[in-house]
Amino acid sequence: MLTNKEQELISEIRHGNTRAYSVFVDHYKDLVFTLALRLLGNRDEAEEAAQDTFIKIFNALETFKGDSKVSTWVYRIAYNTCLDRIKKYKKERLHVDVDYIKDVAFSELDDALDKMMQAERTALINACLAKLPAEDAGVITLFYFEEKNLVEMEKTLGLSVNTIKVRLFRARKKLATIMEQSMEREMLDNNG
Amino acid sequence: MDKQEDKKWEEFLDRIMGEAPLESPSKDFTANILQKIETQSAKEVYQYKPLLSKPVLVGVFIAFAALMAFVVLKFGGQSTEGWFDQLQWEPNFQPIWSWMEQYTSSNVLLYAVLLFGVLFFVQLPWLKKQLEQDLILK
Repeated sequence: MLTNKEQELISEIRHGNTRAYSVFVDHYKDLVFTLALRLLGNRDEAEEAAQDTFIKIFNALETFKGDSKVSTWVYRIAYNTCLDRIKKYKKERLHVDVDYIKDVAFSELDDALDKMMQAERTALINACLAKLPAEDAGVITLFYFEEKNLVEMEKTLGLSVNTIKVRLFRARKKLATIMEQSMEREMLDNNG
Repeated sequence: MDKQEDKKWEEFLDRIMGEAPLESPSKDFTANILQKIETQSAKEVYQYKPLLSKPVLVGVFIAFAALMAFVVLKFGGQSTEGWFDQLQWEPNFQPIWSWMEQYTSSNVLLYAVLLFGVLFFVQLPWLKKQLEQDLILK
């Protein structure tokens, strides 16, 4: 499962080479921080959770057997660290009510997105992802981090492939609903 | 929802997520982690360990008690031929402690001294425990 380079790096870290660990952290920090940010919805908390994740990884590296991809193992620790944090502080993220899932016409959304500037589009997407409930944001983010590999996601989330598919479907629809609501609001604001 | 529409939704999400950039943590993120790891390792290095472990201390005590028992059984505890009995204590103590002969103490003072002694021996293990904890936390 591990590439030679990864094996070499892990072996050096196990021998106490902290410089090797800084290479490891630099390689994964953006991915872990982005996942934490989408799950927790707050930069400070995401940074703390990402730091906790890398300290846990350092302590657990001795027991890593290499039976999954390193990235999958890293995401699993990051995901669980964030979920623990959510449970510990019992924080509810501020998100729009998407308990009723609307059937949104994606073609309309697609057209509306086309008309927006690149920067506006990125800002809108980030804002909408931030409004998603933590579990949905996590599932969608991991789906793309794992390059749509549901088998790897199974290891990360500890859920069956079928459950992940159902969650993805619901998360996707929730995201579309949030986007539609945000766009409607933006258009209303623009029209005065 | 049919499969074709599901596919289109997936493509739409692909597009959205393709445009969602990766976020970066603060500049000193890696340095902070390494510092925490080094502090954690330093704690492990300087963890307090007694010079003599508990089993060794117990062993020493048992050996000492056994030696004393052996000496008493072998040579007897009532011997009058030993050098200890030849010692003359009284004359030596007489001039030093003569001033105490007239001294009488009140019960209150006696209790105070006793209480102080008890508290002293209670505080010893408690203080030792506190200091050890502080050492580990630092």
